[in-house]
Amino acid sequence: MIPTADLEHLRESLIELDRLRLHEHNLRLESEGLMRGLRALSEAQDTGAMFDALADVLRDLVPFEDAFLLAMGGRGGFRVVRSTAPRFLGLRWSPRAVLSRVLEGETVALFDTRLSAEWGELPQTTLGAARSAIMVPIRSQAISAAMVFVHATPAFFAPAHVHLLKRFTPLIDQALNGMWVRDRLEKERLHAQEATLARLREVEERRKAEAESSRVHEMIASAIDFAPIYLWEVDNDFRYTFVQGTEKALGYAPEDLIDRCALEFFNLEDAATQAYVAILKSGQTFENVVFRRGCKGGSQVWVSVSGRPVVDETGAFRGYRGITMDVTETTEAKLKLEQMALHDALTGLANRRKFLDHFEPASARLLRYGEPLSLLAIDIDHFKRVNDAHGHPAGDEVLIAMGRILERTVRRTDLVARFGGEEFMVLLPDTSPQGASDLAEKLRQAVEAERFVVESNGRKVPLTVTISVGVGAIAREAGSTTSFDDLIERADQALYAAKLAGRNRVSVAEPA
Amino acid sequence: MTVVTAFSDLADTVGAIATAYDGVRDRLGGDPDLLVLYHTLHHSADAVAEATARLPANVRVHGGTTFRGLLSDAGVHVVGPVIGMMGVGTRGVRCGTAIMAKGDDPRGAAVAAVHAALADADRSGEIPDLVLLCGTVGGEEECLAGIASVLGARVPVFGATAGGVACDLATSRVLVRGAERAEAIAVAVVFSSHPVSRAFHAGCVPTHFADIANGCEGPRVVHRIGGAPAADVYAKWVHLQTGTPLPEDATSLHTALAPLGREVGRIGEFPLYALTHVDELRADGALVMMTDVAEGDELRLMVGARTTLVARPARAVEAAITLQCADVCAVSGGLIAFCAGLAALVADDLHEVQSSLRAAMLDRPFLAPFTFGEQGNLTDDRAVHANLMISSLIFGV
Repeated sequence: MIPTADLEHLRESLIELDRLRLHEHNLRLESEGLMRGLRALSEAQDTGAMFDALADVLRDLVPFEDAFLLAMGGRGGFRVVRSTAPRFLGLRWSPRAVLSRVLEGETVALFDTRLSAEWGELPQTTLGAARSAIMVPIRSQAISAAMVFVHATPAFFAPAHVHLLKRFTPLIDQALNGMWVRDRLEKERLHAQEATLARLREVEERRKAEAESSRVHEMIASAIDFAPIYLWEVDNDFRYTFVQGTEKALGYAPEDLIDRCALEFFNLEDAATQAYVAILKSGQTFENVVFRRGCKGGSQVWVSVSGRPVVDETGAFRGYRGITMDVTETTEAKLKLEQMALHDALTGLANRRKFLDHFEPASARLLRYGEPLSLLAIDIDHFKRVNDAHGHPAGDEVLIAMGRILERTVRRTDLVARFGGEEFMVLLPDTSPQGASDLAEKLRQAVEAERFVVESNGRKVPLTVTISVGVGAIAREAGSTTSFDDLIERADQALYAAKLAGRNRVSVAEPA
Repeated sequence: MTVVTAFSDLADTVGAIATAYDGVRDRLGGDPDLLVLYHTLHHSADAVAEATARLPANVRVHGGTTFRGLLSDAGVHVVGPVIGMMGVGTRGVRCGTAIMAKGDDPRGAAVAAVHAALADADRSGEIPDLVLLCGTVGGEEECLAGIASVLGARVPVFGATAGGVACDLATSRVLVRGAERAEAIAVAVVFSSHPVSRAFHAGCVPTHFADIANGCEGPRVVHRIGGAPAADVYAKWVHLQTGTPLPEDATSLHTALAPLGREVGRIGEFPLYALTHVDELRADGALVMMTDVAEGDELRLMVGARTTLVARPARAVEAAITLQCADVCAVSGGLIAFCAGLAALVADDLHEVQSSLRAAMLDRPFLAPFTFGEQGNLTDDRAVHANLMISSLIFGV
């Protein structure tokens, strides 16, 4: 018979062996579950897929009825973002004692959710059937969340279930961290890709900009080649620091100008040039300022200059950069047109329009300062006879000669004009009637004393020419507001009187 | 988790508890979260209540009386007054304790005690990792049923019926901080992030002597087995099995190596038995049991050898360690409910028992009170109450 002690040992050993086998079996099941879970987790591409895969695996190990994933839902609250049962989706949860512990890493198992004040605050229409629950923390670098497994039966879950889920926790965290790293790497890859594309775009844009710039430079160079323009830049002492196109426009090579002051090349006595220099010194932007400047060799050209100041990063003035165009041709054409518009074509004297332009300021000075104003109306005596006897060309010669006599005899401030035919007018600013009468007499004598020679029928013929002069005057003391036409009329009447009186004489109109 | 033990043989209860507690605190480096305290009947309930009330308010106390003394990593404490303490603490442990009078409703008392302990831990509604149960003699099955009704059948339970005077089972008492009571249960719930492992060890071998209990009177008196007077049947089985008749005045000491077993589960092909200590063979032919026996239960004679008892506690500890901890160095301490009946049988060899326990525990701290009943989970299923068993609880690091 086997001693009891030996039997006891044998039995205990066999029981222990079977217990260990059972334990090993359970561990193997658990390990297989963990491996399945690990595979599912490693294949999951996002948190939702991870939850779905994990729920499938865990259902075989922990017989829960439903599970849901609680994740941060804004304003510090949590909400169900994934669930095996649609009724839980969207459920909001403000973490208090229980969920806060879970979020800090503790697994919490409830044998009866109705005993938890925190669960009691949640909508019972949704959670009413969830009496047992296990809340598992999910803590990765990416999210802080909780997986919740529920069952309708109170005290359904055993500590062994809790233990099993706890073993899954690091796997979930690891999977989420892997997901996070994968996402981050993907974002970094996309970021690098975008950065590369951006760099390529930048290079392309720079290439385009350089091509555009090159094209612009070529166009400018072409423009400078073909157009009478040049570019320039001066420092704050107006020394040239850059020029392009000056050789063609002014005859100056760049080395003739660089480091030299631009003002050296200007005629500073010229009013327009002085105005331009004043603008330069003001530091203002300017456009199309026209003045004359010298070229290499001494010739003068009219130029139109536009420029803008150059400032440094502090806003301090550092010079000018501009463009200058040779406008000699157009300016001179313009001046010629002006000449033609205001002067008599035959004699070059002022015409009626220019005479009127000069009358207006003289009349204003009379009214403002009391300067007397006089006017001489001059007519060549028997001029028709000259035309009839010697032809109109001879008459024209007389008229031209007459203009020269009058211009050289009057003062610089006086203006001689031809009003048509043989009729001339002289405007005498700041001249009293007496002074005007004296000057009229002086003119009459000068004409009378002149020896006119005209071409008539192919030969030179001497002529004696006289003039009759009517003097009209106005003064402020008279309170007159005499108009130009009134003054002309008055001088004409005096002229008429001189003609009536026998010609070659001066007649002064009565004061108005 | 950190586990430390401390003792005192002072007769003065307040001084003894204060001295032992100082030892716990010194070794732990602070107050424990849970203080398991067992003491001999030399210390009165009032004195223990007064002394534990003086402990820091945050210290949960759980325990009760022990039969004659206890074993620990420090030695055998069976002479004179004994206070034995185990402090469990540091980070990752949360506990709650409660004490309830059983009255006429041990089940209801257990339900109330579990809820109160959970509330004390501020974990109402939550499943603890472990339930420590310390009840006075009687109604243990109802208490376990009460716990299971709240927490589920598979919650781990480590139970130890408080020891007392062998001839007066009502002398056992249970305690919490500031209170010690007879006819009551104390419950501690433990929430721990550290592993705990348990083993519930019967030791004995089943014989072919088995039959159905009937004619039950109350939960623990069986009049007949297989239709014959239960005491006669039992005596006959023992005689036939051992070759030695039971003495006319057989006591519980005589029946300690011949318990009756009830199958409560299986491991593989092996049935597992919860042992029932026969407390008394009555003259009317009835057997008085130390566990509940229901009408229709199959009772089987189990036999144990005195020679195996010395090593049995150590084997229970090794089983728990082997199951839970591949690395035994991960053990921080252990609590062993050592059946007082078995302890009495090996009273002369307790130093050897202690030595084998210490070796099994790798010199880690342990506390082994002598109990009048043991509760635990023989399988992964429900916890059961039995006698003449070893219940071991191992705390992992």
